[in-house]
Amino acid sequence: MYGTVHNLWPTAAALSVAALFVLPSCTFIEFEPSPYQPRGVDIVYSQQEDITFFVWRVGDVVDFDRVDFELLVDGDYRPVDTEETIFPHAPYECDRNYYCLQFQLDGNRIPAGDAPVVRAHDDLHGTLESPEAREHQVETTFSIDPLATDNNRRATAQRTDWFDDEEIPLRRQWQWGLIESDGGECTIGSPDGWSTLRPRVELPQNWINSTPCFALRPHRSDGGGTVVVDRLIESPMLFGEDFDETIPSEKHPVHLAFLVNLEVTNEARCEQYIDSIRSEIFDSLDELEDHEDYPRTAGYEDLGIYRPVDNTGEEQSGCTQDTDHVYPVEDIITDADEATAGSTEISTLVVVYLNNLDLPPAQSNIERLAPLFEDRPEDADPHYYGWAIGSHTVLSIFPWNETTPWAPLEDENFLPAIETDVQRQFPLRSTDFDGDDTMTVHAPNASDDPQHVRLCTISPQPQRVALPPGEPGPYDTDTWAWPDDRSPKLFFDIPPQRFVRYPDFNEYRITGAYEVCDQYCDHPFIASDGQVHDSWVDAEGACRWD
Amino acid sequence: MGLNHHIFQRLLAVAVIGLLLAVSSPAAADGDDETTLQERFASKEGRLYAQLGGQALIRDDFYFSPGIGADVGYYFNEQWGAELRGAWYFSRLSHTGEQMAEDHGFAPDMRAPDAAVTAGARYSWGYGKVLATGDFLVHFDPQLVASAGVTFAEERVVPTVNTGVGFLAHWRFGFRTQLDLQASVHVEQRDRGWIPAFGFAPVLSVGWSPPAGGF
Repeated sequence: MYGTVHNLWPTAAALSVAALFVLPSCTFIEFEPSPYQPRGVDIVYSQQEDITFFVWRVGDVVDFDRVDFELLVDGDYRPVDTEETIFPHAPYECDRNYYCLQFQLDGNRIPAGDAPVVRAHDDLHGTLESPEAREHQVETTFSIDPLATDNNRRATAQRTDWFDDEEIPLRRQWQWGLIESDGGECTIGSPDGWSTLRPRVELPQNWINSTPCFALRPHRSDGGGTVVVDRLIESPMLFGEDFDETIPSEKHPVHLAFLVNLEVTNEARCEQYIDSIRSEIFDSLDELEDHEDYPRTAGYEDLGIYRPVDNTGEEQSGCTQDTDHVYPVEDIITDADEATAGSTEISTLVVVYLNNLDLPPAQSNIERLAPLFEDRPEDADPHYYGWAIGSHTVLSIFPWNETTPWAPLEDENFLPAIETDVQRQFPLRSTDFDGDDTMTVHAPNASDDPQHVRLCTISPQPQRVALPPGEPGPYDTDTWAWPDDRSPKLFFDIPPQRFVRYPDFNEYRITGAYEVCDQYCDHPFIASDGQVHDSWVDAEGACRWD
Repeated sequence: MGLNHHIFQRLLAVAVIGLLLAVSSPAAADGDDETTLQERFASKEGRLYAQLGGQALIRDDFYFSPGIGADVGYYFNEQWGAELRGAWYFSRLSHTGEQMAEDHGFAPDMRAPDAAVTAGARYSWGYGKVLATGDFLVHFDPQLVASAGVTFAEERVVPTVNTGVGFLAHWRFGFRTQLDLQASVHVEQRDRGWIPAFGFAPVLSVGWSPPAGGF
């Protein structure tokens, strides 16, 4: 290519490029308020502080290195530096999409006339003037209502600020201090030292003894500042406590008795059924601790296999049915009584009845089974529980606690159905109280001399409350005087649950929080939601603790 | 003022096209695929160069934006070179823009350009010489130029593309003069969204290129 040119394409390319120049010079310009123009100007004269505050805004894209500001003061425009004023502060983002600037001068400097109060000058835009300013003459721009908090370890000034109320942005620091008093009216003075005010300030120890006044002043760059004072009010001495108690429950051990009355002519096949069903139940009980949703353990004991006996008292195989065969129900009950004797826990006798014949058993055997379904006292040990695995006719004879339809062993759903039935039943559970549960409200450890107690949150709601030595009364308030003798006691009405299948058991919990007041209980305090209440003892439903 | 811009740009475009056609037409008229020229006065292949110059960004944006720039580049061969360019603008509002600001406090929603950084390529599609005033011989390369980068406009960073033609004149001792006439495209994120702006960006530079392989 060196030293040569192609004939046509450079010309075509040049023509294409040249065509760009004949395109209109489109820039799609629209005009918008210059970000450098001062706007939203507020001028505030505070009689209390004898200061004139100037506040204005510019766009939030302004480069402050490019712009200078001038204020109309005493008829002339003076350059101003917001870092060299009474309350210096760099421009800061405010009011969304703006920077706010502030400047102050001593005395009343609100300009007369309609001349623009603020001017901005920058090399690019020239001089830009502010629109008409909002003027305010205010008697008082700040006040305090100091209040001790956190059991009198800290305090808050509760400062009221006119600028905040009027949403006029002004950034300045505050200083506070304590002035000793004789308990009477607070007089303006200077504390031993000034400290930077924060939302909560640490109080010196034993400050209460000196009944001090709280002093506050704005932090001027020259060290002065108008001082306001007010008596610092002691806060209630409050001590909170959470509680989270679960209503106790017991799991009932399982005693399994297999009553076999099948119609399977092949005896080996019959025994295969029995062994498979028993193994499935035992394995399922062993694997309950691995259950995905309700892992638990179930203590169980195998009472054995019970087969019918004939007229002579000889035990049959249980694999063929005969009207003369008799169910050994009494033996089951006897064995269960022996197995559970001496135990402190109430057990469950689970009679697993196996009968695949789609005919009702002999009437005599139905009568023998009947005691298993009779009503028994709640504390009867063992608790009877019937589980039929059999034909539809058999399943409908009695109000079995659990039923599993019979199916051939080869049916892939048969043994898994038994496993599922084990998982959704055992062990049975009962609440371990007498149906009238109580909870004692103990004084928190830090509370030396409780005077009142308030329930901040509680679930479920108590039905009654006892303030010893008084009798339990209705629960109609959340605040009580602390009883002289013993701690208050709450009474709940939680329904008892008896022999409930494990997954169906409702675990009841009593949860909540309370706080105890030792001193200054009628003083104002700040609740957990930040609201100030005049008296803790009268502020029902409000707690300092969450 | 916008009208003056348009007239100026169109006249300039016509002049450029005419010049290009004039430069390229003799080769085409020979009827050969390639035409060999006599030996060049100055070679670019394998040589670095650096330039300083003045420039302007001319748009209907209510700003005057003259500037200065510096660029460095390298030619891989006689045709192709790469270039990195920095520009600084001294923007101010036009008279109309100042009036809008003073009378109404309004400003264009485009920001005034402060600086730009671009990288691009140059293609020399020919080589020529012109005898001027009877005894003044000018050796030059007509070029095609394209570059891309960003323009810094106050608080905004604006994607920028320039493309156009250039004329590189060679002088003794490696000195050079370069005139670029480029169309500019800036896509700026204004309050309304991403808005394009088209303009004209002439650059006149003076520079020096050391000999290939050093002294």
